[in-house]
Amino acid sequence: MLNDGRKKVLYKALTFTFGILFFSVIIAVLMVNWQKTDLDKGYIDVINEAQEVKIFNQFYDTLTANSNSCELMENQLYGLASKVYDLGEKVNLYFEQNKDSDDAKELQKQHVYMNLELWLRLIKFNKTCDDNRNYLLYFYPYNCTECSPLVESINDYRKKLGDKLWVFSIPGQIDSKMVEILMLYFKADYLPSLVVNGNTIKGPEAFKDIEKYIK
Amino acid sequence: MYIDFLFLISSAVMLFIGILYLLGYFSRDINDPKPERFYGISVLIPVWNEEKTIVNTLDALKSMKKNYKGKLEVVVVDNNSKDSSYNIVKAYIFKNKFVRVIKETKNQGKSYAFNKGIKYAKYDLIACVDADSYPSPDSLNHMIGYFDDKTVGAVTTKMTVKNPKKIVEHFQDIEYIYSNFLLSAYDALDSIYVTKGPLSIYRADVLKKIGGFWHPNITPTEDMEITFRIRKAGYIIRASKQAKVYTSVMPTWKRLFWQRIRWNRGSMVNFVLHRDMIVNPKYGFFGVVTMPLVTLTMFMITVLVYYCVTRFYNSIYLFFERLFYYIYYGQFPNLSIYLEGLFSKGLFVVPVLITLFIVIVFVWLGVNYLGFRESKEKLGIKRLVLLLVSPFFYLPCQVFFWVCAFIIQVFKGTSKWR
Repeated sequence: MLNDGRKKVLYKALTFTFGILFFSVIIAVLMVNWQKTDLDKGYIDVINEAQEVKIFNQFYDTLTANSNSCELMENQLYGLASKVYDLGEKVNLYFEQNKDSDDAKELQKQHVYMNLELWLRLIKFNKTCDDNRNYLLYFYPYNCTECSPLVESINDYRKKLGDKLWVFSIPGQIDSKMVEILMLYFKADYLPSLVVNGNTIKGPEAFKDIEKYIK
Repeated sequence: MYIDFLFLISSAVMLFIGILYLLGYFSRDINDPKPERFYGISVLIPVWNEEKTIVNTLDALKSMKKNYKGKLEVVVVDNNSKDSSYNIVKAYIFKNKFVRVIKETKNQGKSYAFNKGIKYAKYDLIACVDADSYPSPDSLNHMIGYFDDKTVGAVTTKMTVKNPKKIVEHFQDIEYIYSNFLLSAYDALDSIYVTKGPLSIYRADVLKKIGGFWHPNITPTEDMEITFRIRKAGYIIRASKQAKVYTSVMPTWKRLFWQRIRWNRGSMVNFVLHRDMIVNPKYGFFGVVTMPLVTLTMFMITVLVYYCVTRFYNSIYLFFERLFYYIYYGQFPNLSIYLEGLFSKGLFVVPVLITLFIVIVFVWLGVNYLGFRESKEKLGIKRLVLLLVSPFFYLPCQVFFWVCAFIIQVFKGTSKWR
């Protein structure tokens, strides 16, 4: 059997191990709470800004309700675009850090809807003010390594055409009926897919045909 | 997620083992007991193609004899060497009458050579020395005192690498230094399960009683196997704190691989052969604690190393992938997100793991420091760098050796002494 000295060492080792494990759990709880508070703060910031965007739209909608002032509509379009892009970066950051959380998914969905709203306003602006700004809807899959040339090409067009090309990136796998219907409408049944001014191009090689549909 | 959980359990078990050994180490006797009498010792050296090292080994034994007050003889058993080992020993005997040589006509393995030597040995104690090892001159004086206790069946000693030159030798050097810490801790906890080949002393009557060393067809590591049988015969194994033996190590990765395959297969075979000792209170701390923990360690280390290395290499890969995009495209919008992710949760998902990991790193640094202290070796820049690199390179290599040994053991039965 075990002698007393070795028994003592064994019990001491067990005590130390459980002590350290307990300590680790305490630290872990503190870290999780601290991280959660930090994330909550980030979430609230994004929500506040989203609220601002809504108020901003209501403000311009009220102003343009009884007139078709293209100047006002253009102001609204650019104002909304800058807010949507700024917000997009924050939403992406939050989403990257909290991929599995429901809050992150909800935020991403809200941002996609803002993008779509911006897209609809662009179409309305083009029609009302007889403008020909190009739009590109980019339906992308998550974790797409083969999409790099496509993204690079879109960025090149963006640089080349400036505000003549408006790009709207939409995650194709998002849990949203609206996105689903939109993809169905444009027959974008493959990811990645591009819709350039109403014309659908499918697959990672889609960048080769963008030029064809740019006005 | 499952691998995180497995890592958590493995970390906790390894932490317990680390703390146990540390506490054991601190409860050790610092000095070896002074001998009441100087026993006669027969030193056995099995030789097989050792023409490059045998003279140095015999010279080391000569200076050991000068320092030892008791009687000492050296019996060299030549295992039918193909080189000039036998002639070199014959020439050596001419001037040194305390050495004898036995020539075998067939190489039947190291254990057979030992058993042959045991038959020819004249004295009460038998020291087994490898032909590429060089005991320090005062080793026997430090080791002999343990045999005044009649329950001690064998005494082993610390090992240090002789003049490491190549990287592969330096890695083994660090490993041996660390193992010297373990040896002291094991000794304090009555947990020694290997009487090391480079220098160990056995009671002659115990060796005869248990039937000597077993054939390599039964076990590839006879020095470990005999330790189990000595324990089963009711004797304990001790380790000297002050004696030291310098040994040559494998000079190439290929040879290291095959050595470790043999050692690891030996460990598996021996633990299976003597599984009746596991959790058996008859064998005290060794049976109840050491054997189960050593068995667990084999699995846990694999999990820990796999986890840490895959996480580490994954992060490095991701970092360079992002860096490539950043350089190539001039801009990478997600770089900041990536960096934040890396430091907040990329390396270790669960915060408990971070805390545990930090503790384990400290324990690891602690035991390595104590290894250097115990081995009386200096930690130079070269050793420090290799020590820091070893968890990412040498440890994964060892895990690889374990996996290969396991596969070979499963698909192949017997083995031969190399």
